[in-house]
Amino acid sequence: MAWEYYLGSLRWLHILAGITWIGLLYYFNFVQTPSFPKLQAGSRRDAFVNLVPSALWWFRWAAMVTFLAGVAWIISRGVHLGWDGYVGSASFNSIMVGGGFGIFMFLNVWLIIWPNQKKIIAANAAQMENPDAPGPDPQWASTAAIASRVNTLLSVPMLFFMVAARNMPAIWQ
Amino acid sequence: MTVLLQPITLVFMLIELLMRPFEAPYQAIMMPLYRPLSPILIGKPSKVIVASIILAAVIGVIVAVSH
Repeated sequence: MAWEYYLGSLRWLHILAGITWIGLLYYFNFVQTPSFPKLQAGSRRDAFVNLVPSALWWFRWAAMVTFLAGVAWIISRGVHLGWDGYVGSASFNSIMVGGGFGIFMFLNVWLIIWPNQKKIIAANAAQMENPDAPGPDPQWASTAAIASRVNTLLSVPMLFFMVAARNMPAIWQ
Repeated sequence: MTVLLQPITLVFMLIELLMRPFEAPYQAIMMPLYRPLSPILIGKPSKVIVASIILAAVIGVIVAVSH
C-alpha cells in the first residue's frame, strides 16, 4: 500500500513538473521569442534582466525535477514489481522511447539553453549599468534558440509515448 | 523559512556546479547535429509543431508496423 502511494506521488510530481517545464518551453517558443524583437531595445533589455531569469529558473528546475522524478519512478517501479515481465512490456518500451526524448530535452536545457541564456542575461545586465559595455554575442542566442526548437520538435513524440505507456499499449502488440 | 531555504539553495548551487563541466563537450557533440535542422527549426514556431506532430506519427507508425 505504501508503495502505491510512493509510486503515485512520484508519477504526480513527474507530471506536475513536466507540465511546468513544457508549458514554459512553449511560452518561450510561441510567445517570448516572436514578441521580443518587436520591443524597443531598452524594454527588451529590461525584460531580459527582470523577466527572463525568473522564467528560466522555473524552466530549468522543472526540467530537473521532471528528470529526477521520472528516473526515480522507473527504478522504484522495477524494484517493487520486479524487472522480469516489466522490461520489454508495452509500458516499458513506450516509457523508454518517450523518456529517451525527454533525457535529450533535459540535457539540452541544462547544457545548451541555460548556459547561453545566462551569458545573454549577464551581458544585458552589464549594458544596463554601463551602456558602453559589449552587448550579447548573437551566437549565444542562436545556439540557445536552436536547442530550444529541437526541444519543441521532440516534445510531441515525447508526450505521445509517455501517454501511450498507459493508454495505448496496442502500438507495441 | 529562510533557514529551510538555505540548504536547498546550496543543493541548487551544487547541482549547477556539477553540470558545468559537461556544457562544452555536450555542445561540441550536439550542436553540429542540430544545426543542419535549422531550416525546419528556425522560423515560425507553428512549423516546428507541425514537424513535431509528423515526427510523432512517423515513429508511432514505425513502432506499430514493426510489432
